[in-house]
Amino acid sequence: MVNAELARLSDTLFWLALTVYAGAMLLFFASLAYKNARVGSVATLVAWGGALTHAASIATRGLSVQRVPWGNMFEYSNMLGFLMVMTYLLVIDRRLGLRQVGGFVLGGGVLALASARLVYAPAGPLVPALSSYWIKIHVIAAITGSNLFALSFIFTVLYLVKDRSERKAATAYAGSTVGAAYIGGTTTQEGSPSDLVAEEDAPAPEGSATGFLARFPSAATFDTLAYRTIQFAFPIWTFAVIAGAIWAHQAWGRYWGWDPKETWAFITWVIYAGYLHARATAGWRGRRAAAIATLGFLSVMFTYYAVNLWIAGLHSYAGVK
Amino acid sequence: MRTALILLLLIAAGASLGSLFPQRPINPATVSQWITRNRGWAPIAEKLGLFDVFGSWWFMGIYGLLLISLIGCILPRWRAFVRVLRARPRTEGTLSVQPQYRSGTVALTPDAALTGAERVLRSKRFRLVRADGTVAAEKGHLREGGSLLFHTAFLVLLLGMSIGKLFGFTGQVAVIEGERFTDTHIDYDSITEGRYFNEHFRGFQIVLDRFDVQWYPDGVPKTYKSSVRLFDGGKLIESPTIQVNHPLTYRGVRIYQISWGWAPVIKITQHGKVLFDGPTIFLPQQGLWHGVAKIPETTPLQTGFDMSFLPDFERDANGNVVAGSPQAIRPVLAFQQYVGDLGLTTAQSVYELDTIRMTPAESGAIGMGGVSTLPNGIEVSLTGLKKYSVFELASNPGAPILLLAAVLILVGLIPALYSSRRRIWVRAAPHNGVAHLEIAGQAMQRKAAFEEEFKTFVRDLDKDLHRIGAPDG
Ligand code: HEM
Repeated sequence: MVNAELARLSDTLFWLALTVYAGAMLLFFASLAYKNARVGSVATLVAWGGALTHAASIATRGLSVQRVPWGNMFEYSNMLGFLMVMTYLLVIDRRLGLRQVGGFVLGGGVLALASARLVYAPAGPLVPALSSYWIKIHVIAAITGSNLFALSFIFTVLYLVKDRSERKAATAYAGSTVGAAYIGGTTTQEGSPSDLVAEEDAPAPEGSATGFLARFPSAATFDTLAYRTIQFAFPIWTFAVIAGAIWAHQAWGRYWGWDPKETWAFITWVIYAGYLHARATAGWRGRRAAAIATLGFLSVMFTYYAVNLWIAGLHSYAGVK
Repeated sequence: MRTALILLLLIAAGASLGSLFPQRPINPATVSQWITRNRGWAPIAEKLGLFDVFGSWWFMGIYGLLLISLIGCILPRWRAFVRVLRARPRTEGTLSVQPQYRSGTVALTPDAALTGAERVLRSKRFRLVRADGTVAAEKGHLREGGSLLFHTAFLVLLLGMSIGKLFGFTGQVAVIEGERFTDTHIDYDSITEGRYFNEHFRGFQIVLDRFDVQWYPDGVPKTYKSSVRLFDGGKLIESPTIQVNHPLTYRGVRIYQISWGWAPVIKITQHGKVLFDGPTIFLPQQGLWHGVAKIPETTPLQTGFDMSFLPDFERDANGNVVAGSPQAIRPVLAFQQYVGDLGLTTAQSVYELDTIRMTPAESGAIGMGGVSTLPNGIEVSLTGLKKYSVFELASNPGAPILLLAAVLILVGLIPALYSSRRRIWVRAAPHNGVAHLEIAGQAMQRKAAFEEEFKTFVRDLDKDLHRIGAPDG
């Protein structure tokens, strides 16, 4: 049965992880604002600390209920946040060396955990429909896919921000000498995630008018990164949808019934297929591709949150009361 | 192929309507509510098929266009692909115009140099051809092959879906503990048959011996389990249990545990004569269980009972009746009697009482074993409690084909997304007693990664030939 002590420990570790992630995020942004690589290294260490705490929280949750820790919506969001941070640490930071992105991914992790907390469900057992090994496969594939789509969206947003500043720079250099300052200014106007920096950190020191954007990879790099991430996510999402159909066949006697969750998983899949087509066959890239990627991510969010919270269906056992 | 892109986005937009409007095949009751709430819009929505988006003419239309565009796209691609596979890599004219290019000399005969190039390219799994003093190599057909497989798999998927739709069936049936159900048309409560199913029922029988439901202490259900016996041709075949996620498969029919409910055993007599006696199916309704009994034989008027069942009767601090635990701890049957005309001459649901021509009479509540005496010598008693189990039986002969399509989709998708097609040429010409080498390369996709691959190839070739001399010019 439910081991209450472990469940409580898991909750404590959850709050700790959330706090540490928020701290790491601020440090990442500070390192951007102050152009201080050392702060970036500290932020990475802090993020690792948060991830280990988070891993312990998830493990104790699983142990407390003797099942995989992804059985209700709180647990999905929680897991999503964990995968985002881990993907950042293991791939984006260590393999790609893109530490500049750290604050944004950690910010995404903080949002995922905070939203998880909004739909908190105490540690508990699964209803009969969920006790199947297909849940382990289908749900973890869906969360992994969502994680990658979320990261591709961060890349897409950074692409759009960087692209804008590159365009502005190009026109500004042509027209006047205040071009550099103008670039710094745009980042706070756009309502992009980068204005977190402006709000949460002290005013940047002299010279940062050229903005931390100057230290970011080119817009084209982010464009390609978003593309690669979606290419990677697409087969995983495809697999998740197929595994879901097999599970539905096992549990409900039909493999597909246009239940709202199924419908939205399908919509997400089709939009990203459209994205891949746009790039591979119509030669779209840049802003037009970014528009489809944004649509795709909105659909991911809708599949994930709106369907569980608003629209009832057979999938409505997300544990949200 | 901008058409495919547009059609894909249209399908997505159409499907989203299907989740925003209530869908008749999924939830007809919600559709009726929606229609009464939006009288003005309802006829338009109805015309546009918004209550059955996935069966509407326009959704089918987009779907059909997508298929036509798919077939129109993959047929020529298959043809071209086969041609490319048959053809050998071409030895290109001028190599120095290729995106990747190196040249140099090597202290070998041109022949030996080319043999070395062949060796290195083969070890990297390139397909190659050697002619006119040039080795031409090519790799990455898996990309186009995978893409073709992936797209073709959609036709297989369609085939599987159609076979399931045309030859399959699904039916639901509620079986009370101790009772028997036969796989024939009339025994099902509801049934959906494919056009070519042709009443192909197997005729086996299922006896529900027991239905068990277990709860966690907080009232969350833990397991639903039907213990059944399966008979075919009068012989006992097996005595399995059927649980959620663990359907029973017999002769191509899968038998699923769908839901369950209470079936109180109710006895109704008039002047000692038994008019009604047996377990009655009660349906879940707003936290209670609801059932009816229709007794046309009572005199002077016909009688109907509208009943509610509480498995665990409790009162809160204010004395209001509340449902306690879901388990049958203190079962109570509450009823409202109606007298008049049951209207049985017209078809009606066995789970609803048509009270239009009836007037309310007595009401009451009894516990287990309790008896309630009503005017005209009518007695109602609760003599026992059973459960019923709802099964779904389904046969889908398309399922294996669908699984095949799913596998093909995944198997095709991975090389289609991750591999890239690229070519390498190595040409050797005699030059002052040594060989002058030209190495060139080109990638159709992933050009940056190919740049690295090309460098590695040149390094490996260099190692194999024991150094290419300094580039001359
Ligand atoms: C309806 C008709 C369709 C047509 C005419 C079509 C056509 C094409 C074409 C010409 C390519 C180019 C292949 C390449 O450049 O390597 C392609 C790639 C692709 N298609 Fe389709 N397609 C269709 C439907 C679909 C569907 C329904 C999906 C999945 C939901 C899909 C997913 C893909 C993917 C993932 C790629 C690979 C993109 C890449 O190479 O990165 N296609 N399609």
